[in-house]
Amino acid sequence: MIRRRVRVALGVSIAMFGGFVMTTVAAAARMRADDPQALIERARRGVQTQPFTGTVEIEWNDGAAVRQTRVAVASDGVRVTAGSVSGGTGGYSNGSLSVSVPGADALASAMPNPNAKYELSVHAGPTIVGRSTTAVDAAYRGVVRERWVVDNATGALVQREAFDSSGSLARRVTLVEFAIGSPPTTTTTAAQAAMSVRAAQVAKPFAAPATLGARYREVGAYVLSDGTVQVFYSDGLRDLSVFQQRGDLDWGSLPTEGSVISVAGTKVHEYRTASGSMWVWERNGVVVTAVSDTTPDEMAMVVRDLKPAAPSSWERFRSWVRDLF
Amino acid sequence: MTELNPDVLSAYLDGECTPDERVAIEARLVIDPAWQSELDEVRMARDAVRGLPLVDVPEGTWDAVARAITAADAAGAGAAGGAVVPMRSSKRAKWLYGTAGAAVASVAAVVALVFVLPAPSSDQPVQPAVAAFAGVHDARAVSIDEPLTRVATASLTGPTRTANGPR
Repeated sequence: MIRRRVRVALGVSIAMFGGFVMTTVAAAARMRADDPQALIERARRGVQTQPFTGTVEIEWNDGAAVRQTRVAVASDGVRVTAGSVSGGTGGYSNGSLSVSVPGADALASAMPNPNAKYELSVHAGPTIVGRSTTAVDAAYRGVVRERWVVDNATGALVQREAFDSSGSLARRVTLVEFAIGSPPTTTTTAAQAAMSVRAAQVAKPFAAPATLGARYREVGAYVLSDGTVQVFYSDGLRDLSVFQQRGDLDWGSLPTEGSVISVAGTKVHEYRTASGSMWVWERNGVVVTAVSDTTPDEMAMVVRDLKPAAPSSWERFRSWVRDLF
Repeated sequence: MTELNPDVLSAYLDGECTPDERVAIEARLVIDPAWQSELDEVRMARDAVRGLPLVDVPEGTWDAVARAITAADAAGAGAAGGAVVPMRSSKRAKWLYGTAGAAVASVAAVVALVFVLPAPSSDQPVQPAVAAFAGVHDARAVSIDEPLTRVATASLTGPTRTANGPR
């Protein structure tokens, strides 16, 4: 009799514990599925644990027309490789690139929280390559500026859209073919950076404000091997690099693509490419090249806000004397 | 005798000092570089004046001067009590005023130049490597951002056409 009671009590306890565990796991899963921050973090690391092959379609507005191209991508869980493009209307030549997926990079810990700028929300996403998804919207000043669509099964990012301040689409990157577990294709590894860099303190006349433009926060500053100063910014979702060189801009040396515009009285050569925007201008004897995956309206804020130091009266005099002799 | 007086040195050079004054001046010249310097300046000025060519005044000038003095004496006899006040100009003071004026003018010129001059120009025009900068940025961005779309877009090279052909 006593044995039976013990067995019953034990069974009830196990059942209660099992129920508690299942409830907790389900709640955690539900919370994770509804938490935009968790979805973004998972999307950033999804490719680390999911070997796959696929094709990415890129559409972007270059200011004159919407362009489109496709890139083959693959991941073995360690490296992501892209290349072997099949046509498109991009107008730019295609190379190949292979990089390690994000790891314990010191920069990652310095990245600002997207919540500091954006209002994040989650809703059901579209079906992409036959997979159900969840979309994370990032709104800034009431307008959705970024949309990340993640695969519900793997957490991998399958579509990313960027919008400008009017809500118009600036760029869309979509995974149009997707196969999990397939061996990655082998492509030539391209150099990630043509120039070596080292961390540096930014001194005058170069500018490195802690925050820049639409709430971009400085993450790091570097000096390239040719003396160019790079200040790297992020708003939690988008990245921005500001390259600064002392001197007078040789406008004739710039690539002939893109267009010349005026921003707050400053002459700017603007390029809109598949990866984002590149803007070049000169102020106070400093040539600035800004590279970002952000939209043109936010690049314009960078032009307005970045102010390299004007040469002092003493520097003017020294320069005048130097030119004189 | 402790004051540095150019007139005393001028009298010394002209041999117009008393023996005591002459001894005192020479004793001071031995120990005081300022006095030596002042003596050199007075000597140079004296030699310069003496080096000027002699010019004969026009005929009748001295008579005109004598008449003018007589008339001035007659007119001013009651007005100023007839006292004649010698005007002695100090070479040292003139030199100081001249130097100070030149210094002020120089400073004013420099200040004007500093504010009027345009910003300094660089020795070399800058030709930013736009495509290379894009690669540097992408390499840093993919190390912290979601790699899938970043790698895909970064694999596409940026603008490369120039007026002189591909870079």
